[in-house]
Amino acid sequence: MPGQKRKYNVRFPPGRIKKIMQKDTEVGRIASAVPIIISKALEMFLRSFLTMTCKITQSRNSRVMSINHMKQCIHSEKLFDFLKDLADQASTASTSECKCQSHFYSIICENAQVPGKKMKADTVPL
Amino acid sequence: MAERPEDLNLPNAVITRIIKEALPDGVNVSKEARKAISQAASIFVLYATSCANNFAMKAKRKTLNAGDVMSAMEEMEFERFLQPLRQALEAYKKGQKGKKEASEQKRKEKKNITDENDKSRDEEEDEHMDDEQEGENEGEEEDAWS
Repeated sequence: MPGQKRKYNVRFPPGRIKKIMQKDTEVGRIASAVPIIISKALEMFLRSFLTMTCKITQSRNSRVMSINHMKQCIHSEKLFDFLKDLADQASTASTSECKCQSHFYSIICENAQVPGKKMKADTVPL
Repeated sequence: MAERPEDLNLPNAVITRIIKEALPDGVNVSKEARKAISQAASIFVLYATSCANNFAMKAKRKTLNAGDVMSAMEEMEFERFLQPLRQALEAYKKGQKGKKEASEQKRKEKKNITDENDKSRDEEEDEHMDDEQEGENEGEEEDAWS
């Protein structure tokens, strides 16, 4: 969707968001405003998550945010319970064995199986 | 089902920018952590979608709307997102309205110009000016969103 000029483009492409949403087979039609709202919510969520994880990074006197810091953040905040699978699985090299409690991470797992292939910059047209 | 892996990933450029803005200078992110953040983003979308869809289904609607997303945020305990989200929604609606009015205005202006041309050429023979006018299709169509 062209036309919205912001200084820093932190808007996610609505088409991509819609594609992800439609992975859920129970979802029917989606009003046009929805991907816009989700994009904003996502931005806010990421900021929160990063800020809270960063506190842990800094408390450990580290300059590099690592998976472990993220794991600790996820486990310490009820808000991020939905990321527990990600925390438990993230350090495993392969995503082929996925003992997932939550449905969502398994969807990500399925789609992440491209062994040995590097993902280039996203060029999916809307 | 052959799915392209990028389908579920959000653009790295946007994620990177958000990371940059959220972290203080001097703090970097490991490669693995970066990947995990991207995955967390996708999971968030799926989780929010599922929640929102529950509200739509409860209301016996087949179309997920912005209100459902708001309800989902509350359910997910992200209440403090509600205010900014409402603002974003208002801005979006205004933008859509503005676009619609702008293109309708353009259409009007075009028609006026062609009408004037018509009048000024009344004395001349060009009857085919009418054809031109009629031939003018609606070149500007609004986005047909779902």
